[in-house]
Amino acid sequence: MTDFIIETDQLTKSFKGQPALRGLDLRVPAGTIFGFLGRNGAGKTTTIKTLMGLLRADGGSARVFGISVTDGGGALEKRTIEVRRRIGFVTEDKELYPYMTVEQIIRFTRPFFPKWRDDLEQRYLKMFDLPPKRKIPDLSKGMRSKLMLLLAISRGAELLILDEPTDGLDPAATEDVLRELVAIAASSGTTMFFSSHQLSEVELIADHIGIIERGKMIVSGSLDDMKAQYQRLQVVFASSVEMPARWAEGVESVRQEGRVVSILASHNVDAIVEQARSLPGTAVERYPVTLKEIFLEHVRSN
Amino acid sequence: MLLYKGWLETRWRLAAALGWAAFGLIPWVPESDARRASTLSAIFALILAGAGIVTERSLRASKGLHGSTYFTLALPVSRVRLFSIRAYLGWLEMTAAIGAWYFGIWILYPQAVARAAVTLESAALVVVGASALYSITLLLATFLEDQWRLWGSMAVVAGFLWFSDHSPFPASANIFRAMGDGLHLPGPAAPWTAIAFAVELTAILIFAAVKVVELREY
Repeated sequence: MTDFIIETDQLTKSFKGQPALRGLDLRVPAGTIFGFLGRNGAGKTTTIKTLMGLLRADGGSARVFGISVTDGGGALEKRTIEVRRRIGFVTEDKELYPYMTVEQIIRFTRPFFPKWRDDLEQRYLKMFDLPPKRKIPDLSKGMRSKLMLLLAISRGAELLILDEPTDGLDPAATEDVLRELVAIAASSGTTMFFSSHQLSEVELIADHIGIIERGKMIVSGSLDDMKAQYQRLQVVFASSVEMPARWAEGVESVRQEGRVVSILASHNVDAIVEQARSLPGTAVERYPVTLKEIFLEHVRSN
Repeated sequence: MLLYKGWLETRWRLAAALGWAAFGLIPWVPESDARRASTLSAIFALILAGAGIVTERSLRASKGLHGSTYFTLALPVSRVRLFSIRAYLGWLEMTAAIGAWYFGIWILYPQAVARAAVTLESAALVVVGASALYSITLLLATFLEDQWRLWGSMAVVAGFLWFSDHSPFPASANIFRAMGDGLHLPGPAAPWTAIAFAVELTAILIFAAVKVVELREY
């Protein structure tokens, strides 16, 4: 059993000379819920398609379940088919066959996946209130998202790759889906790799995150560790602000508003607090940071 | 299940092809309408050929979406299998439409048919010729979006038929002219050179289509 369900090393991919992935290093530990974050065009969907074997990498390597999905040779397609058989996938577009009904697409998908879970299929049909006889174009966007989730989850997959899984869902449905995803991960040990722009959702369920920017991984690790390391310090000066010539290592950003200086620290927080307290007439407060603050800080500084 | 999917995708196309087959029966004047077999075959090929994946994307391409392309490609199935099952189904449907047309001739115009065996030979010849036209449209369907596929295929097939009409090759070596002669095949003397040419052309074009499907990124 590999420690990482997904591993990429220096993965590169270009489209018509435009680089989409520029040496991506990604590690997704088995059994985790991994939030894959990045701005539009950062390379999230290209990464997912490469891992699924839908795109061919230009360079570097990628392994899913320890199986290479990038190394050439005649057996590559065979390997990617094996990988896809073990993955539940929700596409970004949430587009399904317009000529099928809900029950037809379930009947169509089921035979491709030997570990198909009839119990989960029935459970989510009921829970998501999906009408079996309704044609797919007559479903709302939210219902299509739910149907895609049903088709992905019922595969009995070892890995769920979800590209914006809650896109189009109302807040109540979003909460239901997130709760179910956590329950699935907890009960079956399924690894989840999901991309989302909804940072509050990611923060709610992910235990690991990776932030991709311009095709490179800029931050990756356990969310708890990250939140323990990152802190916001508020330094209030009694009179005029006298900043040090150079802040201690670990300061990611400094913002000043009047006599108040806000510092985002990624590590070495105690030393930074000491430095701030040594300045004349200061009061220093420490605050926890949100995932949104960490994300924005990193993508802006890159 | 891919056949089931293909059937749901193409059943209205098959209905349209059968409609054309019915239309092709009226009025039936064999002596003045020798081109009808090749024209109808071209229509069947144009209607029924589709490469599946590109067609799926074309449904939503105008909205900047990929349609159901990625859902299909994410299935644990090779691209060649996806393509070949769709291509095979389209070919079967084309053959069924040609068969329906010949059956109509046999029922409605018995005077135009010398013997049932001749009708079968003639239908088989048309299937071989139609397969070559089908493989042209199939190859084009692997890289042309649906809206361009129809016009592009029409232009290429029309050019191909025009060239075959104006080429110096006799009917014995020209499947499309032999198809036009359809019901008037001179007994057992089948145009083997023409058949061999059509089979070779079909094989080459399908091989090229498979290569495009294998290498293309969607």
